[in-house]
Amino acid sequence: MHEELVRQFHAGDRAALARVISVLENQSDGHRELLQHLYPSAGGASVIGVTGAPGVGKSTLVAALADLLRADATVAVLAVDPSSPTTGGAILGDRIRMPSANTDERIYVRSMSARGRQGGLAIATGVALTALDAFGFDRIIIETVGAGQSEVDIVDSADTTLVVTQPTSGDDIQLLKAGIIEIADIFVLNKADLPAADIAMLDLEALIAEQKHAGGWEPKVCETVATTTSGVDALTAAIATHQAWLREAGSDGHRSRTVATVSWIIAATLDQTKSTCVEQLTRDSDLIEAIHTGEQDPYATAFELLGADPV
Amino acid sequence: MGFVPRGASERLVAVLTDASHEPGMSVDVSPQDPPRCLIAKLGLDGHDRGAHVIARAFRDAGFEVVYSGLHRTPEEVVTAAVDEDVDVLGISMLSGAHETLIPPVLSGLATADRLEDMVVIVGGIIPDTDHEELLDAGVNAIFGPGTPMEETVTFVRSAMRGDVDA
Repeated sequence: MHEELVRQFHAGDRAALARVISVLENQSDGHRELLQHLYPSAGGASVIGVTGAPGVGKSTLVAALADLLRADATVAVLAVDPSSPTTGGAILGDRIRMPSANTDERIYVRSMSARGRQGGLAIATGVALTALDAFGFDRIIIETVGAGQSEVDIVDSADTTLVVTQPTSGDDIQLLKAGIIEIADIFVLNKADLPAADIAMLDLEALIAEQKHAGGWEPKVCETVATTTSGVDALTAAIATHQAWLREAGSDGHRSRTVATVSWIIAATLDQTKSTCVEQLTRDSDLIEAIHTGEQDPYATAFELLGADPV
Repeated sequence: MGFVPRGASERLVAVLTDASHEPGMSVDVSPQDPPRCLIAKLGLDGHDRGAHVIARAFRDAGFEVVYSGLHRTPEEVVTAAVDEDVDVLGISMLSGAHETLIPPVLSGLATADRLEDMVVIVGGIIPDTDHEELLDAGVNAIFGPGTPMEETVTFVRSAMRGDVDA
């Protein structure tokens, strides 16, 4: 167990927090004991998820949001960027948009690479959230590129999810088609000073009017210009309204995040088991031959490999 | 040993517990943990073409690269390096202010107890006569113009393993 590290972590040492996140993310020796130890300290933070297509201004918006929130709270930002599928390397550029990250000790920013992981990325962000929560941050913002299911999973661990769009972008339609609309508690139309913003706003409102949202919350739309922080105070108010609604509804974000983390671990483990079973089948001509000769049906083979008959 | 579902068949148990199969208890699919690196620009130095090139070179070598952006103070660079838990700090310096701006970065890292285990490299325009002072203060290596990218990356990899005197 990382005793010295844990001691420094609880003493509020940010270098220790940074190292703890690395240990959890890399699943280094002792990571499970460490995570187990952190949970009793977690549960106090509220989590805002921010997603949207590349270039819509997520990082700038997150910086403006963090600047406002830090007036009466400590704020942590977890920023996820894509990685190269060939080398695994990544440029993590979100921090550049967040100047106060380096000057205000009430803000902590951590960049994370997708590392080509699917379920694994959700696990990595889930455990990093737990570390930030246990460290004592009041508000945690998680920023991710809205490009696929894994990002939807990650944002699913947020109490309030913002989907950021911009005017005159075909990407918006793609974004909405991809199902991201269903996860938004608040839509943010960023770059609202661009000429086509009025039309984009009408489109968004029309879309939301048709959308049935689970749980009875009607998604809000906010206009912002993140570079000038225009509209960000109204956005903060909308977030507060949503979180008050959550409290009213008896929602428990910490509990949901724990369920999500366990479910991601189950999914990733089953995924790995599947790969192992398929690999075994590919190498085993007898098994395949048994199907071809009519000795055994494919279901029986699958269940045999898995060691379970679900029916 | 791999994950074994409850009630797994003997055949599956044999496969999952076969040491020649890589998947273990860990569910991470990445073969190894990518090293993390911060490329930083300090002070009134507005030229970051070189920083971009080195950031891309490290990315292509499989590193996770955080770029600081321009005009950072030494304190900001220390905060970013510590918060991001980087293994490597690369400072690009073309302004001639290295004697003023680099020592505070090193002392800040030392205060955070990170100077010992972090590889610190400096690139850009550093006169030969100033090398010794920076190296004595804790910089691991200085790379001048024309240094092949492979040389820098190779140095960093071996310094991270502790092969070279850090």
